[in-house]
Amino acid sequence: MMISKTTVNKMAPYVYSQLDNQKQDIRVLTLLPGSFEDPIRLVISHEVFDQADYGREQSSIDLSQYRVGLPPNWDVLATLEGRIVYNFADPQTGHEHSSWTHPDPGLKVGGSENPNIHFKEDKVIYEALSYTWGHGKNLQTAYVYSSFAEAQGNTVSSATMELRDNLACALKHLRYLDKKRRLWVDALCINQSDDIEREFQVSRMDRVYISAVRVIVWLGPGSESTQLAVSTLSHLGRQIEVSRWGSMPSPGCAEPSWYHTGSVLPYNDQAWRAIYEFINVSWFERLWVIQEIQLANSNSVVLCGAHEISWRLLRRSLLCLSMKRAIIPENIMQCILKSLSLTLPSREQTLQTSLYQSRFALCSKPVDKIYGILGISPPRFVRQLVPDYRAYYGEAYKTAFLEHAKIVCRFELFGWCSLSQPVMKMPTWVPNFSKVCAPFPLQNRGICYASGFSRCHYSYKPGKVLNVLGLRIATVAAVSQSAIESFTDLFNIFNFIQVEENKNNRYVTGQPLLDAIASTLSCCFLSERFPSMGTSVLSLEELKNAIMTHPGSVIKDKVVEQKLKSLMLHVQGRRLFTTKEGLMGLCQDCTLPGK
Amino acid sequence: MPRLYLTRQVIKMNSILKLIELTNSKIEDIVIIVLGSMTPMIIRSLTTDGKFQVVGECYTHGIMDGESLLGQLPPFWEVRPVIDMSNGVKEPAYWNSETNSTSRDDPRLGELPAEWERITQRRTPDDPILFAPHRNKLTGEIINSDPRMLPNNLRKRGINLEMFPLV
Repeated sequence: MMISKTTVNKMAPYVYSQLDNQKQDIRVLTLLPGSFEDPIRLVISHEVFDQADYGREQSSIDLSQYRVGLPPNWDVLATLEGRIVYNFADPQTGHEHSSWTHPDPGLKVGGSENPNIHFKEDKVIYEALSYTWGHGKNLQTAYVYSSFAEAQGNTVSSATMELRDNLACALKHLRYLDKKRRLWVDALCINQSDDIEREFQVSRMDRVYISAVRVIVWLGPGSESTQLAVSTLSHLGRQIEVSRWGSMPSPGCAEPSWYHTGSVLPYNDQAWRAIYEFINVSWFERLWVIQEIQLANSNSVVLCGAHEISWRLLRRSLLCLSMKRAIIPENIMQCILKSLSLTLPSREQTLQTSLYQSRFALCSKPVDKIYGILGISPPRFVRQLVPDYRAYYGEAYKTAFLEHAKIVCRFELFGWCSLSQPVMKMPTWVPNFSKVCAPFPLQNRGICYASGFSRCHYSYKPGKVLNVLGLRIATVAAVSQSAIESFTDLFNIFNFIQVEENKNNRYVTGQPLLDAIASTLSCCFLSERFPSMGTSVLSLEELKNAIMTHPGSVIKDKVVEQKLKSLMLHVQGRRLFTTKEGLMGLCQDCTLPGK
Repeated sequence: MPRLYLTRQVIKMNSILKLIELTNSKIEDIVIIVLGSMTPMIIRSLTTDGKFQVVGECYTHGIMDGESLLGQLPPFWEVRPVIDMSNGVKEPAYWNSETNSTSRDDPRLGELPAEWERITQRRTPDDPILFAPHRNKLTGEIINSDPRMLPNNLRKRGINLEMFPLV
């Protein structure tokens, strides 16, 4: 189809007409058919979007009805999509087996069918696109028609839109040759230059993605290795099932041992490289895509160029890989750990968990660290937090903190405060949700109960001062010169200590001093305290041995090294301090007073 | 709360750990326990107006299990958190090495005041990590924390609570 230069010049940029918020309107984009190289032609229409009509997939299933008559060591679980699966943990081998049907075929309990995704008849039908905006270079012109009548037989539209490269590329891949395709695309279906409209649409983005026929993830145009990555990851995904409590072999799968943390995958360098290239793209790092994919139904797919993999298989394969730390190339592990906010089940998640999981996710506006996860945040909190794109982002952080404290009656978000990474122009008690450097909140490791089961007591009048009720404990006496960055620093600290000389010294609690120092350096995340996590957490003796016998050198023992890495997650970025009263601990990396 | 205040030991510990002693007398960093905060906080007094800046949360060895408010655990008791498999939350549980048994009740808390009762409520995402729903039998009021940790009851234990103005 040819569009001459002279006609293009006459065309005006597309002007959005206002959405009727009372009627809950949304815009839907219809991508007109064409071959790959044709210009992009589309119609944007307003459609009534009934709030009440969205149906989430069932998230909580009563499993007790399925437990009837289960033999010992069998359990029943629900997969990520809510399918019932029976699981047998072999007490002899420690391995698991699974089945879609009850181990006693004579018993008629429950169904094992896939849960249905319920759509109302008169629902607005569209697929929602999840993609990254990318940079604004290389714009491509799209032709926007005001109606289908205008588009009929007409090559010339009344208006144009400039699309970013990545979106234009996605639409060309998504376009059908012979039929229309209805999509919801944030950059086009929300008038991005209208703050008021954006605030309203952002607050109901969750429903747009939940109600979509399916979500289509666009990773980019792909490369020569994409096909190998897709086939490798699809095959891996078919070998495992994942429930909220962990993974198991998929019933009847070809490789029943692959789900296991320790089992090795038979991939050559080429396959690993293909996987790395597939997941090392910006989609896996962006903040907004978290709720888009977390709210997506199980029909959703991931597209990379001409290749497609279902989200349920990709998610399983990435979760499976995330549990195989010891055998996975480090560069792939880094990508996979970042993608956990997309792959781990997020339903019924607390705010501080969502914030923690998305801490490395990227967004262009700091305020989106809060607004971008409203779709997966707790309902009472979401009702209190109305997006305001016109105000300074620090105000949104402050509101989020105060509303959360009011609802939860705890100061769980204090962990994000840091005098070394403050929110500019805000009081220091306002948490910095866009901080990107360690340390991250300790409470996410679930190891601190300093004020027991107490609620917070505070008073706040609009202004700077937040009065909090508490107890004065100690005065800081000394701080280490720098923060702990790697476990070499742990060796170094222990290296200073004359072990023999201090063997009989004691900490203020009566504990041997060396034990107290080692406990402090681990924030007490030790197997003595968490016996049930014994295999993944160091014991006090192991830690002491590791940091005393390998000063400054790389650990030879892989298992100990893994455990030390896990320990560093909450120690990194903290300084050692002591108080005048003889206490010691790890504090934030802030500037020293008087220096 | 440990009561062994030994200046000499602190100085020794600082030299053992190669720590830098803070000498600026105008600025003071203090460790406080804030009710409703799982971690102790370090706050900084700046001037003479009595207000504080938040330096940040901290790990402080020996007071992470509520010792500042409730005292040390009795002999044979230690905290061994249990993981609630339905939500991954680690809640404190108390293990007695003498009887080799685990209890969800903190042995330091004593009896629940007569007007309060523990109730069972399904945890929602809007509930705190440390969730302990209780109902007041007289007023019908429901709180999500332990009534024995309310300020009045803590003051009865001799805890000297104060308001910290944070800026």
